[in-house]
Amino acid sequence: MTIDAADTIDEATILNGTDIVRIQNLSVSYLSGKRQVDVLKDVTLQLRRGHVLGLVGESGSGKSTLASALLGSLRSTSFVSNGSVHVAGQDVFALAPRALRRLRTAEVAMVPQNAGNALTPTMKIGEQIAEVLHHLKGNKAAQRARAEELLRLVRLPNPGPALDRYPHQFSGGQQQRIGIAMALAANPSLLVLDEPTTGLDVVTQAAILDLLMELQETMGMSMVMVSHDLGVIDKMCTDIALLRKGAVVESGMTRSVLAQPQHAYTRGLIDSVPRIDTPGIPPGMDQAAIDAGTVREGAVELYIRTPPTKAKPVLSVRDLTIDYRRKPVPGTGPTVQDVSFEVNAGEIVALVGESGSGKSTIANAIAGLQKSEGGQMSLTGSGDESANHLRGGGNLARTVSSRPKSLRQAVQLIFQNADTSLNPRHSVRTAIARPLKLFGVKGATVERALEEVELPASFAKRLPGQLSGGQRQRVGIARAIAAGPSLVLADEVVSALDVSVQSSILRLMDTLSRDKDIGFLFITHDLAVVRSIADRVVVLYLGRIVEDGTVEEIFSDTSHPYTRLLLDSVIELGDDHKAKAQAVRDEIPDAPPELGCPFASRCPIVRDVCRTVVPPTIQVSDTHNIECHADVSELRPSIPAL
Amino acid sequence: MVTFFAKRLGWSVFTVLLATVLVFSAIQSLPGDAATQLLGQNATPSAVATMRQQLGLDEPPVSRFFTWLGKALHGDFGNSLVGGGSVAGEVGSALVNTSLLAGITIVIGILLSLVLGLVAGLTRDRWPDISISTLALVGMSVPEFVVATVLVLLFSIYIPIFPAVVIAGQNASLSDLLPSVWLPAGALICVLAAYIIRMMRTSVIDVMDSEFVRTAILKGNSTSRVVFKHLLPSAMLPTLNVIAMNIAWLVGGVVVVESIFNYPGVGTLMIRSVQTRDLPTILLITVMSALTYVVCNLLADFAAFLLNPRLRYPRSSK
Ligand SMILES: Nc1ncnc2c1ncn2[C@@H]1O[C@H](COP(=O)(O)OP(=O)(O)O)[C@@H](O)[C@H]1O
Ligand code: SF4
Ligand SMILES: [Mg+2]
Repeated sequence: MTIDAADTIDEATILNGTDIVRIQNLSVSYLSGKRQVDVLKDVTLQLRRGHVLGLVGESGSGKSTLASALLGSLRSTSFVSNGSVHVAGQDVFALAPRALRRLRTAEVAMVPQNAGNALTPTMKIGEQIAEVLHHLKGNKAAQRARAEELLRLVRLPNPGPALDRYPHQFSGGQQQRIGIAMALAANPSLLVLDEPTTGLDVVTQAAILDLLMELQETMGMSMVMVSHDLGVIDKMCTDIALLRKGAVVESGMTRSVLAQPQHAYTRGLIDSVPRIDTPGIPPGMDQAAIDAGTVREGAVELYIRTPPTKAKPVLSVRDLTIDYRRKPVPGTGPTVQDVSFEVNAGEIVALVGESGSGKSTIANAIAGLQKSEGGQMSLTGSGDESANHLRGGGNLARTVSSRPKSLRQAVQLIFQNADTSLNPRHSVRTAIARPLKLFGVKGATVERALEEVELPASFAKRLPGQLSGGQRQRVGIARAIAAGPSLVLADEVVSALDVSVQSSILRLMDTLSRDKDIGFLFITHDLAVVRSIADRVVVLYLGRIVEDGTVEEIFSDTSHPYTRLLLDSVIELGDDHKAKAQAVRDEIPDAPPELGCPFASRCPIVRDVCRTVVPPTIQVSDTHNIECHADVSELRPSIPAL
Repeated sequence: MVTFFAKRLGWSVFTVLLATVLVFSAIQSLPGDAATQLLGQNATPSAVATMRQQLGLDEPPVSRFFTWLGKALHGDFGNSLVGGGSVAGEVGSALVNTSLLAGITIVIGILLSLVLGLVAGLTRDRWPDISISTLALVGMSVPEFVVATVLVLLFSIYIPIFPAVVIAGQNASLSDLLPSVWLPAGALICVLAAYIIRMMRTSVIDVMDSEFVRTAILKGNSTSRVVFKHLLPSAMLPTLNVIAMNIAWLVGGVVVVESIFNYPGVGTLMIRSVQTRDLPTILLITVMSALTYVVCNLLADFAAFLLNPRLRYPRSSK
């Protein structure tokens, strides 16, 4: 009797007191024909109030399923086949619809992965926040005031007028802030975040994470955060759980798990992450070794790429200017202005910058998908094919429809989303055979093209839907390479991939650039990837080059203030996150200024001259240029203030 | 926005003009004209020639068209070649009758199909959806005259609650017509609804799968709020164009259904006028039909504009 009573008390205190989340032996499944497929397998996890749990794993490992299970929500075809989920003492899958709704309005809230898609496009922001404010029901003025307060809390500029705007009128980073404000509106005791910053670039990501961290600390909220980025988890989470194929393979305190991983999977994930402070491509994940459970010992072996020795230009861009404005807007300049750079045969040149900095615009102009207003772009051809390209003059000024075939063949694009750029109804063979036929490539076959990207010939039969993300990206590469190009424009090709797959794609690009002497223009906002693969780097801000140099030079101590902002915003595993300088992280303006330095509105060392005069080029070395009015000595990191 | 609607308006005027040109040439290319039709097969060539002169049919077609156009622009649509009365008066009274039929069809038809489409989309693959979708499929594949015949069999022969054909003449008052409007309207609704239901169902399903509806549910909103505030405006958008297209289709459907039920509307008048080659009447009906089409499309654009903030506030005007 007494024991029973004690048990009951104990249970109650655990459920309502210290643990906000208790997941017990949870299995979630769906039926594929008659067969039951498990998405989650026997997951047991607890989270104490005020703690932050990170869920880490490769895509498809069940992270999102687990996260939404905390809100009592599953995909319509999935069901709980075993176990239970308790949140704030309530068994979420046993709740009646009304009680479940109450749980969602009072206890748990979700910050969606992509707020741009998660905000209702036809409703004003203010109304979308207000509908969560149940305790103020009926009092419009109070709801408005509270909604404005929430927008101010997430540091949205002009929170008052913002209430009457629609989602599409905000930038990606602002939409994410609004998504967070909406989730906070209910004053939840648990905030669930599914990849809250994955689609954002480094600077915005850093700002949003700092904000979340601060809110979590001041409000004492518990959080569950899904991410595939170990750096982000390391910064944000007290606790960590690693998911693989639906099962938790390792869990514990974040710092200790990441410092001394016990499971081969954890080790493998950590080893796959490229770092901004070390050159080289990390090894891919050895899934067989992980299945066998062998934990690697000793240091990681990084692959160091050797840049081509002789400079043989394939692409030369001179003073490129692109203007999207239909009529001149006072105080603003053209979208892209006076951009000049070269790509040599066999070289990988990275074009980096935040979104909105004009990276894709430039790539599209080179590909002939976007017309340019000024400057020259030319392809000089490489190896024995040069005669071929010269026939077309190698002039890239014209758009793709008026370019000679040989020139179209020589410049190929690989897109960010292999899923959307491959026709889902066409087989891999059809996708790759098209350029082969179009350009009449001699002696080339689909099988050969697949072999080149390390895919078995049997893949030719498959449809894009039957491939994993990494395999699709390989097909995208195979299609581009099949044409026999001398220049490949790769737009964010690894951004959407798991780190475990990322490095193998990077290795592949390295091989192709060396074996085939292809020049790559590699567009990305991920500086760690840049460090691991690029030979040279061009840093772009608002359509102007602010710095360029060899990869070592860009990551050296002397940097343009914008490059410094990018570098400081990178969040890495093992950083001293608290000590990292909180840089000025307001957002990139909509349009470049008409005069002076594009970065002047955000620069910490701005001076009067910056607002009127185009900055001069500081030649740090033969290959390293910085466009800035400041003195070189000011471009080195300042000793942190006391 | 102003330029958008100005462009649309210009395009509308062009559409109406084009329709009259096409119909004029089509009637022109038919064998015979009003004179031969009026006088019958046994008329002497000289009688036909005199008749032609009287009716002004001896002028070259192009000049006749422009004369008509010039007058029409001043609101004078001429007199009927057959009855001799003012075309505007005759078409006007038929138009009132047709408006009753079309109005009832459109209001009931659209509301009903939107509701059914919404229900089907929300209950995807369950019995309400399956029954609604099956019915819609039947409605799509059966032509309107078959639907009309079935309706007559059911509701005026087996269960005689509605008259099978309309006895009231052209000048009948609306209250005289009201009892006989339901069967023709029913036939039109059946066919009209099918397409709108299908489109509405598809777009409801699409929007149901969207991230923002999922988020709205996870925010703890009631189902009705999710459906009416979050889902419906977005689901309506693609449906609007289908509605506009179907109302335009209705213009043709009305002709068939009216003549089956002998309903004294524009459709019946149209068929009669084509038989007699009564060009002024046909042209005015054409203008009215084209205007209906154009106005429907303009209304659809305008509704889309109201429903879609992306159109009202383009991103650039931040
Ligand atoms: N009801 C279902 N039907 C089919 N596949 C499902 C279902 N639920 C989950 N899955 C699959 O389970 C895997 C895990 O999904 P998810 O939780 O989204 O993983 P993550 O967020 O880690 O990428 C994915 O491969 C997904 O496609
Ligand atoms: S030129 Fe001026 S504003 Fe621009 S980066 Fe240098 S110091 Fe900053
Ligand atoms: Mg996910």
